[in-house]
Amino acid sequence: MSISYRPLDISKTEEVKHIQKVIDADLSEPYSVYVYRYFFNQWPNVCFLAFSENEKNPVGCVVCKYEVHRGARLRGYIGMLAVEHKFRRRGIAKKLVALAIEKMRDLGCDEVMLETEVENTTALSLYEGFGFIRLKRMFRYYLNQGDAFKLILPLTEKSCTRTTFLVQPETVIAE
Amino acid sequence: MEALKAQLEHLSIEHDLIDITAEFQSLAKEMKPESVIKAPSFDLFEGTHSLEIDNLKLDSSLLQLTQAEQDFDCNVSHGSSDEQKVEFVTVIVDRICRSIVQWLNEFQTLPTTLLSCRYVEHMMHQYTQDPCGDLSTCRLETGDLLFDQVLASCVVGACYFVKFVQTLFRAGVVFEEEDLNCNTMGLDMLSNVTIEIVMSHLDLSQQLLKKSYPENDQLLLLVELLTHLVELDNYLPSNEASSFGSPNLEPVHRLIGCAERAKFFEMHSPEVCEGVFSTGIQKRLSNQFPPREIVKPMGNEYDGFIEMGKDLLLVLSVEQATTITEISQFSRFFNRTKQRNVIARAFFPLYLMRDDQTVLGQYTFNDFSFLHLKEFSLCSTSLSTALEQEPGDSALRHKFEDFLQEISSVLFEWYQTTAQNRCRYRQGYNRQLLLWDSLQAQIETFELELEGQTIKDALDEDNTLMPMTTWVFYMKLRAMSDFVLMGFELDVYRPWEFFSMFWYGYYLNQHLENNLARVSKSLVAKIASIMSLNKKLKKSKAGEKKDKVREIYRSKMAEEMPFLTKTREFVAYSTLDCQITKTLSLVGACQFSILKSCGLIDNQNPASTAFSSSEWVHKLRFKTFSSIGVPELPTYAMFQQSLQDFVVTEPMFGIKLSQCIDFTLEELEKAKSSLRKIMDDIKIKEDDAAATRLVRSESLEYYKSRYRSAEALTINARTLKTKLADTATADLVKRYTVEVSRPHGGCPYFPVLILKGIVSH
Repeated sequence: MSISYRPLDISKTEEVKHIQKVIDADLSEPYSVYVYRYFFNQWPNVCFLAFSENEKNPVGCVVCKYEVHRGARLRGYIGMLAVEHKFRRRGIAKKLVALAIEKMRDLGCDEVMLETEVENTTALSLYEGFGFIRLKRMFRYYLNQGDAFKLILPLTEKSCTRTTFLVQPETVIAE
Repeated sequence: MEALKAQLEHLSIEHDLIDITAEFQSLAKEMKPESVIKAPSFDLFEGTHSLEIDNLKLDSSLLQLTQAEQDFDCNVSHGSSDEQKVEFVTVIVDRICRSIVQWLNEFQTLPTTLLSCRYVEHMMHQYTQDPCGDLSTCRLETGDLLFDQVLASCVVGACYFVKFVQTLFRAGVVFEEEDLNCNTMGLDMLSNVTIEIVMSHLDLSQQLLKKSYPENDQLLLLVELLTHLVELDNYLPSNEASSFGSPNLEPVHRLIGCAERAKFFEMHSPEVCEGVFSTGIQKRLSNQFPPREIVKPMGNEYDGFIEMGKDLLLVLSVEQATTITEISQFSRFFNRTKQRNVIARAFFPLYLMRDDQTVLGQYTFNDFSFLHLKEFSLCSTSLSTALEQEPGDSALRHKFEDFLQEISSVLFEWYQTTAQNRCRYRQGYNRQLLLWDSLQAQIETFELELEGQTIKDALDEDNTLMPMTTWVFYMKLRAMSDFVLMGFELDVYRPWEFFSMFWYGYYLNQHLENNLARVSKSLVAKIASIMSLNKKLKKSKAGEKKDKVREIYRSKMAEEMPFLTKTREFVAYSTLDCQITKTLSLVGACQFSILKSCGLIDNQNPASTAFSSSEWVHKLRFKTFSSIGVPELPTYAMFQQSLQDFVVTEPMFGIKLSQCIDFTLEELEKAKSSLRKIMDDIKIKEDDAAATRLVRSESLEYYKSRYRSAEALTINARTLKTKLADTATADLVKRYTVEVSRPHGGCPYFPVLILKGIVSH
């Protein structure tokens, strides 16, 4: 069964709704329609979907964004990643993440950031396999009261310099 | 949608409305397709907190209540006999007490714990509508005193405690949602009510219970417990009564005593109070959070009050500190081996550094900063002498006072950081490092200028002390070292990063040891200088000159010598402490290099090169330190070279490997010996060199954990020696993998890399 991948097309309303269902079923955090639309409508080019040849709707997705971070560097962000249960263990998540990182790198991102649950060893292993490192741990970050790791993958050397030393003095914000 | 329609109908929004359909449609036409309508300030963080109507996971109005919940009435008494009524009220008050612990100690929300009680919601709703300080609008009206007096007073007591917690929370020491959730659903938690009114209410209940229900021990006990909980408000430093003298610890001891007794009563069946604890408040009031199940008691809640009480007693004991070093050591240890109760953590900085701009009501902030310097490196220096001799309005004193103010603001952050949760503790240092670094640069310039004016203390021909810079550097290095080591505790580093982190920890502690050696040298010289005055006295002839020397000698012996000898002891202890950290870090680095020598681990993560580079990943890891002036961050190449220097190679691989392991064993024995010395001193001496009198058990636990880590590293070294010697190098990779082991009871800063046999199938 072959899997194909393509960026999100928000004009396809049914697909968009289906992605929400896939993510809702998978993530511990409940997200409102606003959160989905926040990503989908502003950064559809860094949201990728996975399709199985026999399925009408997407079977997996990665939802991302990229923005200037504290006026200093362009930061990509992986917000959500989900694959339908029966399509797991086929490398779909890995491919989706690779596509997203590649795209964000091509768009000029200096780094890619995400948060994941400390207990989610599968996700940690996936992202660490791309070179992400755990920058810090956040106490009781999730609604389920689990701690989170903030993971960052540097794509340029800018990612390795404290924000304070990248921005103009008048716009310095302590990190 | 049916639920939404029902809600809209319920709202009856028919009057005073204006039809804006035309305007809405006109504006909508101007919108670009697919744009998101939001205020510019509304970011992703806000978005993830947004709710959605008609979404079961996010819309509290969709919560389904049971018939019992819907029908429950707070203004009728429950139970058909006196016994049943007493049982009912006891069950409610017991659950209220348990809910408080679940809210605080288990980091739950108010609406899922205390506010899930209908009586609490009902009475606080009344109070919010009409906030009268005399509680005349906040009552139950069942006509039965058990309810109207006893239960009502317990609700008021519990809510007054919430008000106390809100006050602590507003000080900004602990963090919303991660440490504490203070969402009161828009209910006013008795803002205009004084502690006296609440205490009098609870006192009346106690009198009533003693008189009319003498056989009901449990209910009386719970009312007493709530009374003592309310009394905690008196410890707030903003409360004038607590600003003078030692705090009265009796209420905390009594609170602990009540909890000790309360935990022996069995938990009642929840059926007794069916409908009283409910998710209803989330449905009825403005809920800014997704709907959540209410939290049911587990049975061990009273232990939570005991823990809170003990942690509070610990924090309050800081008031007994007689030196600044004791305060500093207190803050180092009180929240280190165990994360303290959130109330104690929130309370500590407020109790220490008060709204009246004093520390413990005893020192001004500037005096506090000055004493930090004096008790470390400033005493009996040229600068301290110059400051004593200069008039109050001199430029030197002004400049010095300015620096004291700057030091105060960094120290404020330092002490606040020590009370944070584990994750924020480490992050606090990350933020502080820039402040310490900048302060060091400024103060160093100032002291170099002073040296130009001959205000200097020579250590030898080439070096001077620079007492202020030396202290700032000492504080900065401690923050840097803690930041690095806490990363191990929080599992932030992967095994392939262990060499870099341990080696950097070693590097920082080498600088710290050097700095302490400079202070020690200076102290020895100063003490010798004072002692030499005595010899000079004995040799000189009687007369005016001798009298002058005698006067100086007496003055220095009385005012400076006690500081100098105490500081010398503390610096000696700090040196041992630093050497232990240095050794354990070195052994961690050595054990990594031994495993690398055998091809079992590498500091290069192949994954790093897929989209990034090993160098960038390394630089990102050390970003926190990249801008630090002194000690300069070694380059990436230096890190790589240092590992190469550690790695064992042919020829004579086996012998060299064995020697390397033996070296770590010798170093560990030295560390254990130093640890025993520190622990003996803490255990035996009342006035120990470590100045840990107030945190004796906490500091001992910390050093014991280091000792266990040293033992675990010793065992690991011996195991490595055996396993590596028994197997040909080429076969090691097939037989073993490397795993991270966290020895039971060991110091979390020093995880151990162990060999794990590969199970062949």
